Amino acid sequence: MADEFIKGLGILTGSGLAWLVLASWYRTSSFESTQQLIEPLSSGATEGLFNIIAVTLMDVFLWFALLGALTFWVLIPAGHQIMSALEERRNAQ
Amino acid sequence: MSLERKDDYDHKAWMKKKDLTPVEATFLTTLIWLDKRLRIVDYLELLETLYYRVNLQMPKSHTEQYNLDNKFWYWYPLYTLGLFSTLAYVVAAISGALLGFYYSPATTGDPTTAYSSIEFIMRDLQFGFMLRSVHRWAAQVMVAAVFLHMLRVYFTGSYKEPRELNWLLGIVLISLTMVFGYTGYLLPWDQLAYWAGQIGVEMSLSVPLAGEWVAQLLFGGFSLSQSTLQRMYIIHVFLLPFVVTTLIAIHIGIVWVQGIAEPH
Amino acid sequence: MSDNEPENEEIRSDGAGIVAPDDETPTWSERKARKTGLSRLTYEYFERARREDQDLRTESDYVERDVLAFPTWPHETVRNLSIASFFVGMILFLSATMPPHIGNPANPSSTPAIILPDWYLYWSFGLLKLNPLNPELAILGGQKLMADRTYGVLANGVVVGFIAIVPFLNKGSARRPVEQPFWSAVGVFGVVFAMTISLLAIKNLMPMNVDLLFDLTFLLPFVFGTITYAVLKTMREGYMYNLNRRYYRLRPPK
Repeated sequence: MADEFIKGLGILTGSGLAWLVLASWYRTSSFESTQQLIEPLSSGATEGLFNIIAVTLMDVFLWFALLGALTFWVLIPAGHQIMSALEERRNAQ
Repeated sequence: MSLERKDDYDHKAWMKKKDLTPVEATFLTTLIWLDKRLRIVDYLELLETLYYRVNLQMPKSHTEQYNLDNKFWYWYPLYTLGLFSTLAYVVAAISGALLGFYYSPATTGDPTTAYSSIEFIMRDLQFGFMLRSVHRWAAQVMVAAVFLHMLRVYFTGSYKEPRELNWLLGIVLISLTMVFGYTGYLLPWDQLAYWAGQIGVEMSLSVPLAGEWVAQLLFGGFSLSQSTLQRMYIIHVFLLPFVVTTLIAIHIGIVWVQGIAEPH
Repeated sequence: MSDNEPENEEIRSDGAGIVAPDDETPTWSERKARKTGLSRLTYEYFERARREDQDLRTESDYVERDVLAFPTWPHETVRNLSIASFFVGMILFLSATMPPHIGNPANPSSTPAIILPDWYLYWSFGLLKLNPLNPELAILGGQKLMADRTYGVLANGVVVGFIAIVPFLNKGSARRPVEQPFWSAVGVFGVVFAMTISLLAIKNLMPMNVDLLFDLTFLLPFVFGTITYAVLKTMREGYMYNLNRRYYRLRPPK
């Protein structure tokens, strides 16, 4: 269980940090904005190869953080629980 | 018969006999030189005795008892937040000392000298923009790490006997950390700083009974002025560093003496 | 020890070994006997504590060894160095990628729309906005007992004071959250409350109804606390079930 915990934490924090940096570059107009990190893309974000790569990576990192944490903290432990429950039922019969 | 003093224990001949590497020879020469003057062998012996008295017999740690050696590593991020906040404190201290070379706490002029010195640091000073950034982020990281550290201690029940005193000390430390952050927040003397200071004055005036004294002591009056900035500056760069560093040392010292409350 | 050495060279534990051993030197117990009052009590307690330590050492689950746990070198040192450089690198990374800005210079004559402290003081700032909860006394003709701001400042003291006395309220040897569902629920309540009260502090930045926000501020902590309690209680019963199962296999209930 501990293995899954640290894997999920590592993915969430690492990937989340990368998303945070990119979102602060491309989706934050000012420090007084009420929609920091979730604004529409700033102008010029789709010009040039590097900007396009960065904007794509921003979404990739966000989903990787969310799905990674979900997988390691919920899906895999739940799978283990189900497997052990089935095993027990089989043994009991 | 020569006039040269006889040495009963001829360390030099002994060293020659031993065929030492240069490192060993330098080490031994230094050790002997110091020991002849300061008797450090006595103190080393005392330390060694203490070490063995303390360590020879200890209860099994929980990681040993429950065979958690492997698992402990996975939880390690949660158990290293104290180190993390200490490190951030050190980084903030170093960058803060460098910033202190260029900052001056004065509300004279328009914009004020304090504000202009921050502008100078950010715009003209070589590496100054990064320096301010490092100081600010180190402070943010320190506060965040201290908060998370407290949560970890709470949820693993590490504050229980015999560690109640360290928990109380930790509460003093987290409060002082926030005072550190608050006083530093006021130093640039921009709009945010000024009005945050205004709230601070009003809050301290609202303290029952002692309100006016508190406002006088911390803010140097009932409205913001030069003396407010001056006091914030002295609290931030002189008073708190001494107090907080001492308390952190005691806090860590107590952990050292009592041992880490390991998970089980 | 060779034969020609005198026999009184063995280690003395009566405290008389440090000064010259002549007949005038009082032993430790003699010194204790001479004392009265607090110093006498101190000596007596030390003796008891020393005896307790000795008893503990002779218990069976104590092991004799040279070092405490992990070797300092290389294990602990390498781990600490790598973690330290990783952390410092992270601080530098953050400051390089997301540098702070500086606002307009201070202007006492124009109050800005947004007045905020740093994020870690939002909870304290939020406690100043509890005006609707400040009790009104009927005796004073509906007047409030104290000014709203005084009430908020005192609320700070209550929060910090409660956190401070936690070790004196929650005793016992339970460590894991699952072993102490109630106190874990209190902890989750506190964390969620810190977050909601922080959001209340920045209510003019929040894109939602202020009254709803105020209600949620006090509702959500209870909701999350209750959920935590229920989940941990269930988990604990699961643990107990696993422990008991072996017992019931040996002695099935009739």
